This record gives sequence, structure tokens and C-alpha cells, in this order.
Amino acid sequence: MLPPNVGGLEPFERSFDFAKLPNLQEVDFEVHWVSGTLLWIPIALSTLGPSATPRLSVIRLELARSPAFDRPTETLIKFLGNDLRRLADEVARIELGFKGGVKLTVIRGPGFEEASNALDVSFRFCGSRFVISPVLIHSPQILQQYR
Amino acid sequence: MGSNTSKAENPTPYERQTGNGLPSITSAIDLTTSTTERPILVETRTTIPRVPQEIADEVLDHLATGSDFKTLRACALVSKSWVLSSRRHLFHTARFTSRNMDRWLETFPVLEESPVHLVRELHVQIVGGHCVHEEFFQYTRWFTNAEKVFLSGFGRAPPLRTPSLWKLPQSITSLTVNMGVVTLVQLRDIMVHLPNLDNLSLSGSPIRVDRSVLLGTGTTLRGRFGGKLMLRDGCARKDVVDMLLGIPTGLYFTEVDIRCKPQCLLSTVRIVEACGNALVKLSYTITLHGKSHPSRSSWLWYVN
Repeated sequence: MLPPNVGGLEPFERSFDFAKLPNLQEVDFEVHWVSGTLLWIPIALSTLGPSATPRLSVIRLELARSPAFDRPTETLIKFLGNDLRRLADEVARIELGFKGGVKLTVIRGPGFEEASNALDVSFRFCGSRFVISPVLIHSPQILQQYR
Repeated sequence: MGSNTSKAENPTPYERQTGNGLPSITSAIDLTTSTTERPILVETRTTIPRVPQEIADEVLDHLATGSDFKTLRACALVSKSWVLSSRRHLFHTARFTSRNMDRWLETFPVLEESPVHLVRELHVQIVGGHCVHEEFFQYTRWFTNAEKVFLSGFGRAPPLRTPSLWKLPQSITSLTVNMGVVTLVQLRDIMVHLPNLDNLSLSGSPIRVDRSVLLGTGTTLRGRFGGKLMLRDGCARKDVVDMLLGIPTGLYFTEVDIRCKPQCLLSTVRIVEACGNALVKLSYTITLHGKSHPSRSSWLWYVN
């Protein structure tokens, strides 16, 4: 689902459609965040799936706060809370969809580690306990919790 | 048969000493010892065994791997058989700057006697403000076995005033360009001579030119574009992407590596998707910053 085209959101009105790339094997996204939405990442990830991209074997996401972003982590959480939840949902969906056949790594860089730790509370609040982990999200316990 | 008999009767000094045809170090003096007598010095003929060319090549390859060019230069003076192998490594990569282009032309005035055919990588650095030898850019087409070309440099004014004069050999499969040196039209004029181009790497901030000049920029290109595409800095910009998307034969890059600003997201989405079935690996790095992003109020509206 695409975000509403609010003022200035034009660059993100469209994201990658991986269904058009059926032979894709590796995807690597790295973001140095200062401001703006990260919604294009979960939108892109939502097009990945065993039927759309059957040869996919590696996904790597690295999220880091740019050194230019000098505001407190709370601000980052306020801006990106929803995006991170969507991202966690998509990561879990991919993990479940490929049944462990994809090596999926989410790396929390500076700023995002604190933010995602803090967001764990909000996940619990909204019914999801899925945590963006710096290591592989392969833990069956976590997946069970998510189910 | 007769020749074998004569060979057995008159063995070469090398065969006389080893007897098995295996290479060994020939000694100038053979020490024959006896249990009862003092050692007797028997003088033999001095020979220098031929080192098989394969072994010599291995040694020279090893020197080249360690970038020991001083030793390689010395090896080139050892014998005729070592010259070619040494030169193959010594001239593997040719680095030119605005200052030393004429030195090559002075050193190798006769094209047929120059080592142009040994060059595999061509690095050209252009520094703004220094004049570029147009004669040299005519000459580069004779590097007929070159596979990779790197064009770098800096300077505000585009030094290549007549880019169409730059002729590159058709053997080029990989092109790396700093777009701070050439305009997009100049890049097109360079690429138009490269039908076997597989890998393309663009970095730097492309020099802006009149948009009307850019119409149909890519339509004359005929590369293979089946390797790796790397776009850095401002090179994921719309006009650059439009040129690549305009290539009539299509894009078949198997690997795409993009590092750009968020303004370029839509352009990069287009070029990534244009690779279609060919694309195997995507690396995408983006640095977000404020300009083209929602203001805080609109963003909060979305979050809530």
C-alpha cells in the first residue's frame, strides 16, 4: 500500500517492484538517515516473495543515523516509529514466506539500536513483539511470538 | 636412429651430469671422492641451464602480483625470452595525466614499436586548467587490447573541449568515469565507440548542460551492458538515467550498485526495473536529508 502523497512526499510515491526482477538473488539496502520517511523500504520488501522472487537468498538491511542528525533518539522514534513497525512486519513476512531459505540480516546502526529497543515497548503495546535484531532473525521463538 | 646414437655418444654437458633430463644446477667443478685418495678435481664444461619459459613466467607473474616493478624492470634486461613476459606486466596498466601524455608519444614515436598492445587498463587523469593533448586522445584507439578505462580528474571547466575526438578501442568492456570531468553528451560520445561495453561506473557530480542537447542522448549507444552498473554521488540523476534508458538494445546488468540521494529514488527505481530478468544483485545505499522530503507537520500527519 502506498503512502498518501502529502506535500513533498513525491519521491516516495513509488518504490522498487521486485516482482519485475524474478532472478534476483541478493538485495542490500543501506540507509544513512537524517530525516524523511523510510516507508519505501517496507514497500519494496512487500514485493518480495517465494513466487515473485524464487531465487532470492540474501537480504541485508542496514539502518544508521547519519552523523548530520544530531537530535535525540526520541525524535527519531517519533519520525520513524511507524516505518520501523512496517519494516518489522515485512521482515517477518519474508522470513515466514521463504521458510528460512533466505539469509536475512537487519543491522541497527547508531541511533537505530536505541530506537528499536525503545520501540519494542510500542510493539508490545500494539500487539507485536517483533524486534529488529542486529543478528539473523532466525529464532523460532521470536517467530512463534510473532505468530 | 643415427642421430640418437650420436647423441648417446656425445652427450651434452647437461645430460652428462644429470643423466635423467631433469633440470638441475650445473656445477663448474665436479668433486670425485675416493675413500683412500684425496679428492680429485675434474674440470667439466660450464653451462647455464635453460629455465623453461613457463617457470620464468611463473616467477614474473609472482613479481607482478607483488607489484615489484623495480625487479620486473631488471628482469626485462635479462634475456630476450624474458622481455615480453616482463613487459606484459610492466605495461599492463598505463596511467596518464595531463602532464605525461606527451612523454608517451615522445618515448614511443613509432606506433608499431610501442607497447600499446600490452596495455589492458588505461587510466587517464585530467586536471582542470591543464591543456589536454588532443593528439593523445586520437592515439588511444591504438590500445587495441585494453579492457578497462578509468577517466578521473577534477576541475570546474570541462577540459575535454572536443570529446568526439577521443577514440577508444572497441575492446573496452569496462568504463569508469568521474562525471566531474565530462558532460553527459561527452560521455555519450565516448561510449558510442564501445560496442562491447559491459560494466559502467559513474561517479561525481555531472556537469549540467542544456536539456535540449540531451534529447535522445542514449539512442546511439550499442553496448552489451551485461555486467555491473555502479552509480555514485549525483550520477543517479534523472538525465543520466534517461540516457541509459534510451539505449535501444536495452540494459542487461546483472549487478546494480547505487549510492545516491533520495531525490534520485524514482530514477533509480526505473533503471533497476529496466534490468528485468538479468538482475541478480542489487545494492542500494541512500542518504536521506531534508530538502525533498515532507515537512515535519505533513510527516506527523502521516504517522498519526
